[in-house]
Amino acid sequence: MLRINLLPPYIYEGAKRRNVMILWVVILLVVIAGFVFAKVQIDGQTAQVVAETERLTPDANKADQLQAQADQINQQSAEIRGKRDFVKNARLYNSTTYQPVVYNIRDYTMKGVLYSSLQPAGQTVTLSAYAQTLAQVGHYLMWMEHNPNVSHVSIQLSGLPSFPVPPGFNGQPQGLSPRPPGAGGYDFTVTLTLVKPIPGAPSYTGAASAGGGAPGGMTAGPMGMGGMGMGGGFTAPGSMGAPGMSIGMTPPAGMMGSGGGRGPMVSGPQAPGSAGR
Amino acid sequence: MMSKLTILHIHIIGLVVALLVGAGLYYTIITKAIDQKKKAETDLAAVQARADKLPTATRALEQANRDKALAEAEWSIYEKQYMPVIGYANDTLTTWLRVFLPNKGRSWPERFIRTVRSHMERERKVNGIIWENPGTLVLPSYGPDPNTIDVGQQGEGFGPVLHYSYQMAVRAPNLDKLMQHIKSWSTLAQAGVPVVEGLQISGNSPNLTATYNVTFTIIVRDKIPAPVPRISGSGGGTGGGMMGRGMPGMGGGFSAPMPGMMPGMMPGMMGAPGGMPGPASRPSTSMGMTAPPGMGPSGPRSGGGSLSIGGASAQRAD
Repeated sequence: MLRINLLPPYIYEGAKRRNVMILWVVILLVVIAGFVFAKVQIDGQTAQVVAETERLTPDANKADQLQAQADQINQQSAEIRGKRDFVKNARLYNSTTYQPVVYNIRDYTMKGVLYSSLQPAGQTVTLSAYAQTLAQVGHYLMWMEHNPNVSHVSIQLSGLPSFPVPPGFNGQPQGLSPRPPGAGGYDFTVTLTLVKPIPGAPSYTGAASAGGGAPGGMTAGPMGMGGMGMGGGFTAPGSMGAPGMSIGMTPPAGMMGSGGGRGPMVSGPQAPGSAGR
Repeated sequence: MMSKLTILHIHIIGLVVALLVGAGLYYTIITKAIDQKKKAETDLAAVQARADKLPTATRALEQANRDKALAEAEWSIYEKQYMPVIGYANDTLTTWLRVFLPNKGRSWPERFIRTVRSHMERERKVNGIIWENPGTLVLPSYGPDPNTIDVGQQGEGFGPVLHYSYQMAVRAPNLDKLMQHIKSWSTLAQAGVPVVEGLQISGNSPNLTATYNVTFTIIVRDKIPAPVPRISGSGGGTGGGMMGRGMPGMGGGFSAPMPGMMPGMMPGMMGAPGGMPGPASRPSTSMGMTAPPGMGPSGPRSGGGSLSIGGASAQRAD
């Protein structure tokens, strides 16, 4: 037989409401408990981090202290180190600045080429030289060009013969000191550009100044031997003594008389014995 | 009231309350805890970074101690070798009298010149170096005012660093000897640290000529003398033999003819008489102090003039 509940629904809703409310209270308590649990967990991790921090703090402080001591010692010894370094650099400068340059140039100088001056200045070395023949000048250039310590070789030379070459032409009959008495030949000026420039001299003016000083002090005018047109009257006036003159910068051959010094362009100094040859 | 709430209402209310409570708790206790944790982690990272430097710092300290000890040891050697004891007294007046007036070879300029000359003489014997311009080695007059002495270059006072610079001209038998000579300057003792620069070589062996500039740097070991404020001096010319470096040229018009030379000074080093303003002349302490000829000082240092102490003025006659 079918049983029919005829009681109205609100009879049972009271109990349902109560159960639902209890459910939500429980849910609320669970939420609160969850957050509290999470906080406890986070606090635990934080405590671990703090503990680790505290464990490392003495080391950190010690490191700071040691570094501060090191810095203080370095600061205290900076002056004495500066003085020491200056003396060291000065001693090194006196013994290793010019000697390698000079000896290197000497080692790359061909036999037969004589120097009358050598002047290191910064990145260049200027030399006044003499060679008996043009072939020696050429070979000197070829040899010096292979010098690994030299990046560029520049030469100033005058007195090259025009063509046809006069009979008995033997370069400049007179020149500067290195040439043997009465010998012909060629005076020329060489400018070598060094790969490694000559450093400035060390200087010391007080605390913390032991570095290199102002470069140079090694300057003087070029010697200008090669370009002075001492070549027996073969050069035109316009080309004589021009600084920076290089090989081959002779006047056009057609403008020069074969006799050297008798052509219409020639009015410059003539070496004795060259005119009318 | 409660009887009017349906179950749906209770669900909605419960949900809203749960959300509000959850959000409230999150934004209060949880975020605070997270912030604290983050801060702690940041602190830990910083401390960790510092702590990680402990080995480096330990090595740095050891290195600093080693460097200092090494520098002190090396400097001790260098100082003994290169830096002279100039002989400063406690005050400038005593120092002036003892060290900067001719003193039988014991004054500083006389000792300095003697030291350099001895070196060049040794170079002559060892490397065959001929010193062609010994007259370049001159020191300027220091004037009559002990408080305004420039022991080295102008403006250097009594130190702590002094410089002397000379253009040298030498003749060497060959290139090797010349290079040895350049190097030999480092062996010079008790005259400061010499530095050679500006080398120029000309000529040929065995008459190889070289010019260069040698600069002596002296880091003064002596205690800098205290000035004597009650003393001032004024005077004229530099006396003889002191013009070589172009430093003097103290005006003043003191024109005692050829006053005495410093012992050991080379003849021919005489400079222009006082009153010739040099390009790098030291400033005159006084102008117009013309002493009668023949009454000038015999020493090169004072150049005559007056020395006043405490307002009283005493004319120097020696």
